[in-house]
Parts: sequence; structure tokens; C-alpha cells
Amino acid sequence: MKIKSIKLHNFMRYKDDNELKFSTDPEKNVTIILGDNTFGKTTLAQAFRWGLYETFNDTSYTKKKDIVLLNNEVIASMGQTSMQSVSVEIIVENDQEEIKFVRKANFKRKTGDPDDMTIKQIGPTILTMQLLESGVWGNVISNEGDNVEARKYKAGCVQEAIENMFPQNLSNYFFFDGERWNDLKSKTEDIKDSVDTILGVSGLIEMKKHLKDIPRSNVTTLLRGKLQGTSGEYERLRREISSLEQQIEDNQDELDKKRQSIDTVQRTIDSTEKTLNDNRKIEEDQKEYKRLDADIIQYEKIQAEYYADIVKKLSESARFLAASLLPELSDMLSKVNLEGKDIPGVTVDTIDYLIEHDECLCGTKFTENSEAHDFIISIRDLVPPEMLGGAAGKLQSMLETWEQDSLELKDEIIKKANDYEVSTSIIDEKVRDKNELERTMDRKTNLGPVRLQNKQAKEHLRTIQLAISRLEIQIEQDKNNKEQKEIQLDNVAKYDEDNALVYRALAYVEAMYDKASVIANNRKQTTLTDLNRIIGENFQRMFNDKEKYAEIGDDYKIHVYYHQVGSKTNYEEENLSNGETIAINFVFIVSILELAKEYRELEKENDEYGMENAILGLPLVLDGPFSALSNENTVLIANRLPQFAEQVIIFMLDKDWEASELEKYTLPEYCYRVAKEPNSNSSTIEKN
Amino acid sequence: MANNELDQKLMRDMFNEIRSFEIKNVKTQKFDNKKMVNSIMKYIFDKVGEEKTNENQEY
Repeated sequence: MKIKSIKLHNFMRYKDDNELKFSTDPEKNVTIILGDNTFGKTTLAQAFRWGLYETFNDTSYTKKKDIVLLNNEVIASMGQTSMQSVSVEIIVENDQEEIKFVRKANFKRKTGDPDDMTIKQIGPTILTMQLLESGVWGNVISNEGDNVEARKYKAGCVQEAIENMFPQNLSNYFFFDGERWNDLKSKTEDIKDSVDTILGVSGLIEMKKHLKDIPRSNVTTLLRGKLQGTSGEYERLRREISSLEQQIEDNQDELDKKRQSIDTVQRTIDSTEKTLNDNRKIEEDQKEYKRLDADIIQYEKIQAEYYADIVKKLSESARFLAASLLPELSDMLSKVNLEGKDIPGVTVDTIDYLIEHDECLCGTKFTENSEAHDFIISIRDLVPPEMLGGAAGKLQSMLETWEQDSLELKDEIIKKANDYEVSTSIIDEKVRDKNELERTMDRKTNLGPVRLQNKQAKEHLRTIQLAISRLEIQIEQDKNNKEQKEIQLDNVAKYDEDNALVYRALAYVEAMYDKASVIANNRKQTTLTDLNRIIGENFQRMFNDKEKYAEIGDDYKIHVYYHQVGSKTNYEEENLSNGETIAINFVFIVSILELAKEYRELEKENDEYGMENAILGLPLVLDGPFSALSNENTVLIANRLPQFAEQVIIFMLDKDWEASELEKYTLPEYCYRVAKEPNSNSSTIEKN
Repeated sequence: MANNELDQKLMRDMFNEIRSFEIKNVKTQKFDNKKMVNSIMKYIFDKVGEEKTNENQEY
């Protein structure tokens, strides 16, 4: 299938009529549209989307809601009541048939204010098609439905014809915008389905679904419903089978829901992990801040304990104070000078005892008025407690002990004071760190809930996976059980003629189901291997990089690996540059087209079950594909495109045209240029 | 239908017709599962009915 031409009327930048005819030559199948940036190349790509699907791609500079379809200069020239139209006409060549699709919308100014350039659409957008019959365009068939020459066309017939040729769900492949390919955020299943559709597997999968795989309401169950029986056993088995079918359907619904919910949960896990990774520094700062806060509190507590200890020690300082009196006391005692004048161990009581017994220990008698008696009476005043000499010595000794104690106390207090000082400096340091962190860190972002959400999502995912396993086992058991009961039912069924017809139909269904399974399984088994083989080859051709290789994963996305990094083998490169990403996307799309070509040949060779049209042959419309690529990559990629796409239409910059070396695939009459007058807002298309 | 062997040509014709119908519907998404299942079942049942009629005429 090829696009023969596109004609724009007052479409955005393009005032009046502008037409492009595309090359449908089998060899030189490339059409080039050159133009500087902002001249309107992307507008042409948008015209394809609007013409075919009445939709747009968001661009970096325009959102869909901001798009004004009608040309600005045309709007400026419109009176309040005049109406102008925008239309896109696309002519397509498909199996020797030519079809013209036209989409058209009418506009008026919204207000009478000449400065107000806003417009409103009048009536719905109109879509029509015409078939070329014997060189003449036939009747106009409206998408709203028509009766044309006794033939009835239903509503939506024109859009359906477009969908038949250019399925919208595959449009990202043939209206290829390498720069935004990654922004499409396609889910793995969507990519896989699209690849399956291009490579002809989807039809087989759908066929299997309808013949047998959809629970309850499939062709097999409907046919079995036609079986007639009379015995009670027959009715019982039918009821049991019906109940099992209901159970399988319910569990299948539940399973589908669980599988769908995996996507949602996985997205939550991915997004929360991304948030956590992106904000790891914030989280680490916040943790450090909390740690510092806790440390400061801890050290303040220790510091308070040191302080309390010092106060306590000081409160025990009576001896410390008394000790300070020591020098004065010593001085006073020395002045008394009684030291040595007492009799060691002799007190007043000793003297009194000796006088009472009238005899000294040495045997001398103390007779009254004797010299010995007078002497002992005279020394009675010199011994304790009448005399303080011994007590003063004891006091001095005690004071000396206290002095020693007070020295130790002083040491202890100094040590505690030092500890207090150290803790103060630690606290000061931590307060400084905390203040510094407080100044630089993001304190508002609270990642706690994100981490909790991530944890909960992971637990949720595990629960879902467990439930899926249980449901899969249950469904499998119910299916086996149902099959057993169907065998029993067949045995008791009355083999009348009507039932025989049903059994015959069931046998064909079974045979077709098996055939579809074999073809689909063979294709599915080989698709990834074949695709990876071609991707490997194309990657080498386009990148010429011996250190790396590319491979499509189970997620149906291309991953790039290093053969060897240090001691690691097959190490994935995750930081691809913009240019590399675009080039990888090209590898992907070119490889799919190349494989489609291989499979189309295989289908052609299969006389019995081959279906060439099962494999899509698509044109490739590329908007600014090479702008971020190196010249080497550009030439390597550009030279693969014409070989595998039915037709290539490229909007590009002059510098890329020279680098692409596409001239050998391009007929001179299919090289255009988007031109713009310096003082005009509108663009025109000219032959280059 | 005299024997249980399936007519391989009929099987192939039906298979290719249904596959083609499915391929078209994958692109257009025109019919839902219910409509597809009903159409396919009716098609197969009619074809098997034709097979039986043709067989009876041969006898």
C-alpha cells in the first residue's frame, strides 16, 4: 500500500492549495521534502494524521487544544459572515485500486472584532472517499453512510476503509517520529500487539480466542449449546458444565482484572522508586539532619549530667572549705606551742586514779604534802582534757587529710569540667553542621509517604501475583474438569442427525483451532529470535560498534549491552544519548519492516495456508528523523529504509539530505522544498 | 459425512476465510467478541450444513 499524494487546502501554515505527489516507484521509492526549521515540515506530518484520523501529535511547541486548523492569513482576510474551509485530500494506492479520502471542516470568525482572530467550526468535520474506476473518480461516498448506485454504505464506512489500510493503533510505526518514540510510553503489551499485528499473528490469536479461548461465549460452547439430550444424566452434566463455564468465566474476569492491576501497581512502584532515586540526596540530608538533631539532644543530656556531677562535687566541699583554713589553724596552733608538753597516753583521769590510790606506777608514795604529791598535782593541769595539746595535733592531722581530699576533689571537678567542655564543643560542632544542612537542604519534601507507598505497592504486587497463580491453577483445573464432563456428555448424548451436524462442526472447529495454534506458536516462537537476529545485524550496520550489541527483551523494547565491561559480561548500557535513542528506535522499526518482508515471502510460498495480506506492507512517513544523528549514523540508517518500507516519505533539513545519501533512491521529481516568504506567515511547497 | 474424516479443503477454506475476517477486524475493531463469535459460528454451521446437503445429493 502506498500514498500517491496529499493536497492541503488552507491547512495551518499552508494557504490555498498545496499538493505533494509521492513516489510509488518500486525501486526509487523515496520522496524528500526539504525545509528549514519552523518552515512547516511538521505541519505536513500533522496533515497526514488529521486527514486520516482527525487527530494530532503533540509537538514540543504545540498542544492539541492550541492548534488552529485554518491558515492565519485566511482568517485575517475573512469578514464576519464569510466562511472558509480547511481540507486534506489523500490519495492511496492499494492492490491496483486508487482511493481518494477527503477530510474537510468549515470555519467562521467567532466575533465581529477585526482584532479578534478566534474562529469557530461550523458543522461537523466531513469525511468522504471516492474510488478511481477506469481512470475516472467515482461517486462521493460519505462517512455518514450513503446509498450510491443501489449500494448501501453504512455510517463509519470511510473511516473503516482508512483503518483497513492504515490501522491507527499502528500509526506510531508508519508515521514515525523517532524523537518522540520514547515519550509515547507504550506499554509492553501494546508494543507486542502492534508487532504481532504487523507480522500477522494477531489474526490467529483472535481466531483462537473466538473459536475456543474466550470463556463461556465462544464458538465451541455455542455449538455445544445446540446439542440435544433427553436423559436426566444428560441434563445434570449440562448443568455442571454450565456451572463450570460460569466459574471459569468469573475466574478469568478476576484474572484479567488482577493482570491489569499489575500494570497499575508496577507503575506505582516504578514512579515511587524513581522519586526515591531522584531525591536520594534530599532523603540522605533529611536523615543526616535527624541524626544530628538526635546527637545534639544526646550530648546536651550528657553535658547536663557532667554539670550535675560538678555541682554535686561542689556541694560536698565542706572539707574543701575547711582545708582552706589549714594554714591559719596551723599558725594558731604553732603559737600555742604546747606540742610535746603533754604526757603521751596520760589524761586527767590517769592522774586522779594515781592520787586516789596514793602510789605511782613506779612505786613512789603520794603522801599528802610530799614532793611527789605536789608534782603530780601540778602536772594534772597539763594533760588532757584539761590541756588541748594532743587534740590540736589530731585536728591538724585531720585538716591535712582534708587538704588531700580537697586536692582529689579539685582534680575530679577539673576532669568533669573538661568533659563538660568537650561535650560543649561537640554540641557546637553538631549545631554548626545542622545549621549548615538546614540552610542547604530541602526540608519540605517529605519522602516518608513515598517510601511507604513504594513498600505497600511491592507488597500489593506480591499479593496480586499470588492471587494470579491461584486463579490460573483454579482455571486450569476447572477447564480439565469441564473437558471430562463434556466427554461424559458426549457419551450420553443422543446421536440423532442434528447432533451429528453439531459434532461435525465441532470437529472442524477443533481442527481449525489446532491449526491456528500451530501457525501462531511457530510464528511467536520465531518472532523474537528472528527479530533479534535482524536487530543484531541492523545494529552493527547502523552503529558499526563492535563493543556493544542490541537485543529486544521480553518487554519488546530494544536494550543495548556491552559485550564486556571490566569483569562483567553483557552489561546493559542505560544512559543512551538522544542520538543513540533515536538510532535505536530506527533499528527497531527497520527490523520489524525487514522481518515483515521476510514473513510476507514465507506466506507467499505457503500455497495452502499462506495469507500474504496478513503481513502489513506499510509506507513510512518520517518527520525530521536525522536531526540528532551523526552523519555516519544518518547514512547507515537512511540506506536501510527504502529497502524494507513500501515507500518512504521524509521531511528533513538540507544538511541531513546531503548526509543521508538518499539521492540514489529518489527520483528528481519527488524532491520538494517548503518555502516561506520572509514577510509571510504562510508556507508553500515547491519542487526542489 | 459418511466417514468421520474431515474435508481438508473445506477446513482450509473455512480457516482462511475466518483468518481473513479476523485480520480485517483487528485493524478496524468493528465487531466485538460477541458479534465475531456469532458470525463465525453461523458461518461454520452453515458450511457444515452445505457439506451435508451436497453429500446427500451425491447419494
